[in-house]
Amino acid sequence: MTPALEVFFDEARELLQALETGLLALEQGTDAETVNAVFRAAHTIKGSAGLVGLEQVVRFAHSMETVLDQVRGGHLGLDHAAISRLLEAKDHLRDLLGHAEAGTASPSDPALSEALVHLAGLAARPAPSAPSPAPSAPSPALSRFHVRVRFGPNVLRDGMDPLAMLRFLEKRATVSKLAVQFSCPPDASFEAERCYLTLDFEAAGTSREVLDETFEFVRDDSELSVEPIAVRTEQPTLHDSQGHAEHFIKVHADKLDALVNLVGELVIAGATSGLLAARTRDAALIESLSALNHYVEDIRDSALGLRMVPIGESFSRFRRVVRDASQALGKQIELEVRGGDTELDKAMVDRLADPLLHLVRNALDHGLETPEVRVAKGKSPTGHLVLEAFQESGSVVVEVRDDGGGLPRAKLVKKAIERGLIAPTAQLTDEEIVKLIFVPGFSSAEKVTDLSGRGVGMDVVKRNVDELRGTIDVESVEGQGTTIRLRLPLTLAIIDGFLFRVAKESFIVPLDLVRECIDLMPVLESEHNHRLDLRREAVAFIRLRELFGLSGERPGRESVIVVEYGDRALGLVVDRLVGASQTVIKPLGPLFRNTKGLGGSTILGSGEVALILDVPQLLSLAESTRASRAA
Amino acid sequence: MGTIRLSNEGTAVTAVLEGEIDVASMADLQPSLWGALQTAKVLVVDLKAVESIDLSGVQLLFWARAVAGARAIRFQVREPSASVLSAARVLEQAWLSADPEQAS
Repeated sequence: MTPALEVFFDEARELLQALETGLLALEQGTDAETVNAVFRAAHTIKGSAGLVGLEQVVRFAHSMETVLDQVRGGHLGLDHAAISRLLEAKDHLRDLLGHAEAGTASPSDPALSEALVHLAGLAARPAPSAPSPAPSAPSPALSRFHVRVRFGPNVLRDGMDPLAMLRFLEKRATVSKLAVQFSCPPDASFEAERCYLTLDFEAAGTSREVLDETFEFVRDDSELSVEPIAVRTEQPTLHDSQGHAEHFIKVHADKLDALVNLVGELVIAGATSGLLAARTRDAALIESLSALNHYVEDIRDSALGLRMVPIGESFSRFRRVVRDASQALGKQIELEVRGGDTELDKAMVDRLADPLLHLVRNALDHGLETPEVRVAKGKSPTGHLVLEAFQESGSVVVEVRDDGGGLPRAKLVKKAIERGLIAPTAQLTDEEIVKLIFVPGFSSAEKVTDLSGRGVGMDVVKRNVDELRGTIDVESVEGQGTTIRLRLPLTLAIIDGFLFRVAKESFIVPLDLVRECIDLMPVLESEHNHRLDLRREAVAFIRLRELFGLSGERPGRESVIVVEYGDRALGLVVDRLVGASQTVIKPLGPLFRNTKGLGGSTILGSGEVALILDVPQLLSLAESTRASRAA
Repeated sequence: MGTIRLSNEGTAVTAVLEGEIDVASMADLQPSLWGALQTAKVLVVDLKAVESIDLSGVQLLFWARAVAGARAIRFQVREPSASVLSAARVLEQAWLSADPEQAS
């Protein structure tokens, strides 16, 4: 696929999401701004599809645009049925794009196309085969521009056609004084697939936005100059002021990943230099490197910040899921999104999409009850589903909360016994019963539905969250509802670590999770119970020397690093504390991949490898060890 | 995919272009045209069977015309199809829209 097509499909997906979000908002009440936004999304998809030659997409998007234009003009109201039809149309458009991207034949849906035409009351007006001029709204200031485009040499090879761009522009502007220059050599050195074209012209009755849109897919590779040649008489519009307020550059995710990797190497190189400088005891050198490392830290934070995106966009996709599920299941469900501006690494947001979808579907399908059942239980007929994200001690917490029926303990236990997952005589704690939902293949639903499937999901959800170095907790009160809480690290790439040694090995624990460090001896009260009395708080501890089977004698004085994850604390008994260390997370080698309690590795300034502890896993290990000792 | 057929009549070469003249056809079309330009005194480019043409096609014809000009070869466009005429109009390339001998 050409880069231009990749950009097109990427942007089309974003526009489809904007279209869906807008349509769902319009169902709650019509406002001009949202109508315009939805119209423009359909319009831009149509226009861009025309530029890359996807005629079927152009035609269908035109049908949608026509309906939305009627809405915009106040000739058509959007009731529930109309919104449903437009959402179906959006899905069909997504399918068309999906087929175009995969290079497979696109299915047509004449009934849907007919319905759209009918909806707009435009049965007599045929859809054009190419993009037609459509007014932008709110209308940007129209003016006259001098445009010069020197197309990049790879434009044709990338599948773009400047001729199509000029045709597109002709329909949205009055083009005059056109000068066409082909700077091709009149000999055998001419490369027919290379673009030698320069266009110079005046475009009147149009806006800079239209010109930018026309050459959007070639501007990275080409020289584009757009100069106004008429003084604008119109007052600045709201649209203009918004345009100045938001300046974005699209950057390929691979480039950001490469930058973060390089910064990672910089961090390691900085640590090495710091170590070497310390050995020289040259104060000026040490000070200079310290300043340099300070900037490296700033660069690290900035580079990681580039990958952070608000989770709200991911959340907003669930509005459609909730709407469709409510209809399919005959339930009344209200979705509330909180903390949508909480930022998380883009890779993390992407990998969270599927687990979150499964959790939401579970809540809709199994958690929240029908209005009749809810009323009979003395609840409001409308169920409440909350998606919330917030930051808490170096982690991001994502909660999926419902006020439905809660997890039915008796049914869970019965099912687990039936499936041979537990012995009939087993005495499980409430927490253990709730955790049964994470056992592969376990399902408490009385009937399998299309919505949340066959109970194969919760174990997959847990595995996905584990892979993200996160944890998943469940709180559920029967009759009152369920909260699923995901706790995730802020980033997957670089962290501030705390370095320490056990035997001859170096270890790192994420600094955010370190609550305090203490000497072991004075606080040790009941070593046989592996618990510390920490200012009257009983904190479990584990000896990493024992856990990882490290040889050698214990030192005379051991230290304890108290780590905290959520509301749980754990003491790690170590030989020697070293201090804070910037840590670039590298994957574990195959030798350690199955070792419990390790989450990754890193390279220290000395070149030595240090192992990064997986604190949530250590907490679980400590808990299970304690439970087995108690038993 | 566009194709090219060449026929000679003395030193006059006729190149008949057919189908979709786009960037995917360039690898075939350019060497053929270059070959024709080595021997011809007159190059007639027949465009009546061109179903569609993109910028690469127009550029190829522009180049052939420039090579012909540099070598004193007479270059003629014959019977441009509707799609060629459309491209000629958009790019304001009058030479592409009519046979200069017929036009004059």
